[in-house]
Amino acid sequence: MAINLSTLVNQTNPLQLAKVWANFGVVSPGTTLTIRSSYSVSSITRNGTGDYTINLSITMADLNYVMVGSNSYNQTTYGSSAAIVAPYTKTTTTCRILTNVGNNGQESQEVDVVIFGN
Amino acid sequence: MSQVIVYTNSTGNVSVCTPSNESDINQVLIKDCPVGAIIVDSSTLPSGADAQFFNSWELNGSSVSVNFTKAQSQQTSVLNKLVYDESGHRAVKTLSGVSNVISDSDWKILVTNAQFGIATSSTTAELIAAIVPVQAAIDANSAI
Repeated sequence: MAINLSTLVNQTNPLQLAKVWANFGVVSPGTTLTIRSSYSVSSITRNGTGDYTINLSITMADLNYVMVGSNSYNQTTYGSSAAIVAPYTKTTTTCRILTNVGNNGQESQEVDVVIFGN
Repeated sequence: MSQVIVYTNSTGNVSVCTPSNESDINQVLIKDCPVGAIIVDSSTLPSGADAQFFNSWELNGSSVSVNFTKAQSQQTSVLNKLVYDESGHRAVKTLSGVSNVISDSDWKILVTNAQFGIATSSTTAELIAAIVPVQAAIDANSAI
């Protein structure tokens, strides 16, 4: 029996789909931030070491959206190490995150962020 | 030549805004950045060792450069954090009856040398080099 993809997509609850996603990072020390791939992101601002604002090209309905993220740093020295990705401040059009090790901002070669919500 | 947007943020540091592939930089300048932000070629931003002191960058006119006094302070904070964390680690090893790879007296000399190195540095490369022996000693003491 053939599967009709368009039917499957239409049956999917829109809230199950990511509204925003981005893959970015500071590829190596001494380089600027690179956005490798993104969706519904107009830009990403680096405010400080491990401090980034994701500027959305859409407007979320409220601040109850869910941001999930992961990251890795020290890919050259240690293969890959994880730092905490924490939402810092959220508006309906921006999401500022911190990537920390302990209490210290940690520059990351790759930060992956996904946002779900209304 | 890729372009980015720079401005001085509320903490006095420089923010660097990178447009996504789906955006036009002039629209991003209006939508995502405060008044006074400017578009620059990314090649004009501090590079090499200077780039590692991002929190010490300053925007003067249309030029971004490192404030060396801030960079020294930044590197002192990095050293202090390393020393604080390693002091705890060394104490735990001592209490556990495990010898530290670097003796206490040598460790103090390394830290003092690093502090002196930071204070007498005249370039960001020297600031980075000043704490390398301390980091190496920490790595050696962490090795199983």
